[in-house]
Amino acid sequence: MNIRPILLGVLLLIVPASSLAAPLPSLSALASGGQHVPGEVLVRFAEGTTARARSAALSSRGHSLVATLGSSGWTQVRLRAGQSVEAAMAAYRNDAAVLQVQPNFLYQATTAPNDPHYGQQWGLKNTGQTITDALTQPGGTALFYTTANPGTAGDDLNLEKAWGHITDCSGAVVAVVDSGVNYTHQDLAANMWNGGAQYPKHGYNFVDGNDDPMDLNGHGTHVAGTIGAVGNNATGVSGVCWRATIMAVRVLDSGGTGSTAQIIQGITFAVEHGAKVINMSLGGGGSFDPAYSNAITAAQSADVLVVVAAGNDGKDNDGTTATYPCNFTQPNLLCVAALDQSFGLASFSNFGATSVDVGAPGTNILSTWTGTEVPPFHDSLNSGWSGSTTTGGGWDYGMPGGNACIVDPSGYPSGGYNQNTDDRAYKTFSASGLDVLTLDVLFAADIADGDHLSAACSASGGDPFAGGVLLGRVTNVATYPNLTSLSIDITPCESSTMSIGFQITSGNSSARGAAVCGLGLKGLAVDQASYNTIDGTSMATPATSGVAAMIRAYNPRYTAVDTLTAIELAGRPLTALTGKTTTGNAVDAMSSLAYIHPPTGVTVSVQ
Amino acid sequence: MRRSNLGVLLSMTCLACAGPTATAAPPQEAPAVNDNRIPGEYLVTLQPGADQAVVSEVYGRFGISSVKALGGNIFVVVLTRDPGPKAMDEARAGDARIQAVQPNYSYRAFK
Repeated sequence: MNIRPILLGVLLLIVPASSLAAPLPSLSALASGGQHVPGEVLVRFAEGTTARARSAALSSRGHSLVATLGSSGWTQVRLRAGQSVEAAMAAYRNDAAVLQVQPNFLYQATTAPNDPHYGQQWGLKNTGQTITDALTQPGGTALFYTTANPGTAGDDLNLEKAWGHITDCSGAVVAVVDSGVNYTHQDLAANMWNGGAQYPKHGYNFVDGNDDPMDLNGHGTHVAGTIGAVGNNATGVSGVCWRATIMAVRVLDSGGTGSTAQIIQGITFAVEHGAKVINMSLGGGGSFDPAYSNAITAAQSADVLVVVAAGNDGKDNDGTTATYPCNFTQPNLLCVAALDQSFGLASFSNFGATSVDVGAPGTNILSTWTGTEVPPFHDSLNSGWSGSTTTGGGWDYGMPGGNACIVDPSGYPSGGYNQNTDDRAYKTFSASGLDVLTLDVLFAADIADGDHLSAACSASGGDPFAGGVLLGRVTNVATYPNLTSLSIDITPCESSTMSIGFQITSGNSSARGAAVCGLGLKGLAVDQASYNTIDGTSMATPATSGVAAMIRAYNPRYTAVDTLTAIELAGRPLTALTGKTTTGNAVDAMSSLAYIHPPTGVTVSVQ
Repeated sequence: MRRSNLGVLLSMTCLACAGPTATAAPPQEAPAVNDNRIPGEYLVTLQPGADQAVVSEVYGRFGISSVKALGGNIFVVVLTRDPGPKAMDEARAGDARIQAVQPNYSYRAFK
């Protein structure tokens, strides 16, 4: 038998066969379903009944033997197809050889972890609690998803019953293909994949091309914690799996961005090193990506389940713009939407009747974080800037649209920058003690073809275009009147006297120019004990991956498709997901664990 | 935990300095709306047995900034001048040693 069924207990308070004629509450309970194993009964034969006589009693009713339960006289019996448990019990009523008969009742233990913040993890156990922002990082926003907070008790992953059967999913390696994982975190370190001497830091970094997949964003660590933060360790939070094997695969940079090249390398690494589940809480819009699709197909060939996020644009992925990888169609791909605390579809969540499969908790999700975020600093853009020009004019303070900006030319958006000019503006800032320093810029630009708008920084201060680090350079752009946002990792420039600057250079041409109307700095210091509460389909995805790991650890011979089928078909039907997903179901850990169907890929030979 | 500090330290007065005049860059094909491709970056898949030099041979005219092997005969190529996906594919069609070429797309965390 390849499948481990959920523990089937034997009711110790036995119903005598002779009493079956009387009304029995348990029988009416059966009609409402769900408390016994369908298609099975337990029969207790009288002492001295031979095996031949037992077999004859079963076969005469079209039944078959599942197991003899020790020396108690009890026999586990499988009924003929279509027969109800109630009818089968009645069939044994007048058999003198039968002392007792009863349903094969299901027992479900409930278990809760002792982690101190478990009470805030509504996705694991929804008691109708209000989720607070006590553990929200200052670099992010305070809780902004106020809908359904508090939500509805019981609208959760139904894990406490599942934990009565399994909390240790370490037999199924889960690859977190993301911004990395803080493998030193107090709630994750014990659950990281052992990569041996070749991968001593539990994975690989395809952003920088080295063996250190440390998370410099936070996103991947949050995802990892939802899957497998150490549970019941009286520390922090619990994962869906209390014990897990998490492989850290870094494909997104500190700004949370990556490319096809990095992702397909990450998938290949995960597949080649034994992952059974790949979590990818990432995506992009627009174009079909053959190389990415091929990597998922390779994962399919290696029997790896790939769980991905639907996206956070609040749109229909089946509409004019697809979202990949969600819209790929491989049978080992499971795409997840985000649910709120009352199991409504989160307002930001993408959906798709043919592309998005299930829903899972994705609002106000508390999990591990990679470090402490420094409260962001926003420059006023109305003082402290220095400038230079080779032609006169150049950068100045301005108020286009009523917002404080630095602009070139001074009359922006009227007029234009000078021809054959080199206009620079820069300012000195201080940043220290950070592992990541990120520059957020909001700008508008009309730059002629061949002219350039550039950004640079310098650790030594002063003019960053004289020996500093070039951060970006654009030409032939026209965004006016729209503002464009940009997030850039400027960690190499971090110092107590660092400078940041902007430059317009031109040839024999001119255009409207540029306005920088937002400039923020934010920092992150990696530590071992940070947590954060955030929203996203990114958060719903690892909840599903954790359940997938649980199923594959419980049934090691389940294929990726078996696991996906159990999650999809045994989910909880939700009106909110009807017509919005392929199944209309929310992920239900206990039901998926109990969902038993013939495993695929198993052959039986008769000799 | 490391001590963190972030803030404006000081401001500086205007300085006048001369800098080099930028030369005009070759035309670039900008990505279309809803196209998440990274400008100037492509994945080139070579036929089995083909040498990496084929990449430079076929696409060198667009100015190759770097070529990196990803495994599986796939290379990520960064060009100094982006001719656009159509021109890249036309070049592929003219050389049987190249199996496929596509843009290197950008993806982001869904948080």
